[in-house]
Amino acid sequence: MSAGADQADVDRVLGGDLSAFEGIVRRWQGPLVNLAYRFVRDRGRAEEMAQEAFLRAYRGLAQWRKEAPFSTWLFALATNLYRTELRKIPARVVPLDDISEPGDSRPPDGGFESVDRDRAVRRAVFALPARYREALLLFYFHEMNIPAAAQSLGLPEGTVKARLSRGREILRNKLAHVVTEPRLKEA
Amino acid sequence: MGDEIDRILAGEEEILPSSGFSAAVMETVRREALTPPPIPFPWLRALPGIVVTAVALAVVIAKLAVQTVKAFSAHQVPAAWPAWLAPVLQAPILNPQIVAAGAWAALALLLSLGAVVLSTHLVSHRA
Repeated sequence: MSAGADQADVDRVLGGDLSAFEGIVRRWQGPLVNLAYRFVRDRGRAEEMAQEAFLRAYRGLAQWRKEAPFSTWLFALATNLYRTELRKIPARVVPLDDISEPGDSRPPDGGFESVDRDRAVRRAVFALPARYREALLLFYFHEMNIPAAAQSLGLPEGTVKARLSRGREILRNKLAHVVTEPRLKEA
Repeated sequence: MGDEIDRILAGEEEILPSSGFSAAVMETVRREALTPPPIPFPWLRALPGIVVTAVALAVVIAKLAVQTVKAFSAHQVPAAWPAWLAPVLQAPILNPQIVAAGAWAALALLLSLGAVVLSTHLVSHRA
């Protein structure tokens, strides 16, 4: 994504050229909708939340200090909004204890059980307490970049690391029968 | 296992925004741009008046309450109260301590009501 293009569009919007905001929307609609989707797992609601995030961004455009990249500011704004929205209307969450545990997660030929396993892991993440779930969602959304996740969440990196560690520990305990250590190659 | 969880969660499939998404966002933004900004409540200007009013009100209420409690304790009608209350005050059912407690409770209720009315008023103005 082009930081220069973001800055130029922001300057134009602040100068009164509203059409320049379309450039910002086109560049960031994918990431913002996908981030919202990770929070709610509902495409329609994700788009509504992303739309509200863009509206908030438009309203607060003058508050971007330009010390940090525009994307950092935008993701922090969107994350804050998504978390608030989820507190107001929680997404349908399956309790952690209700996560199904397939008997054999390692079929010799992969296939359907692998899909089941992936789904079970994602549902387990979704059933985590909010603080751990949010840390994990942002961590993987930012391609396992802890500083970026911390900036989006507005938390110190140490706090995010601790939450990631605790969240993974809960997942490991819950998914012990679903996800296992890789098998050693047979001699 | 960490690697396996990483692989699964990092491999999240991406969704594409629907075709009309950016147009819908721009429509909302244009509508927002046409809406005049809300006039903020002038807290700075109103603050001295609010403080003076609150202090004056508190002083008046406190004086009235003290006077009332003292008068009830002595089975007399407070100076600020109408004279027709005298027979009521002299009724045997009116234990001075119960009356004093009642006066304080009434005062608390009045203050609560005032706070609710004021906050409702402020919120309805901001909405």
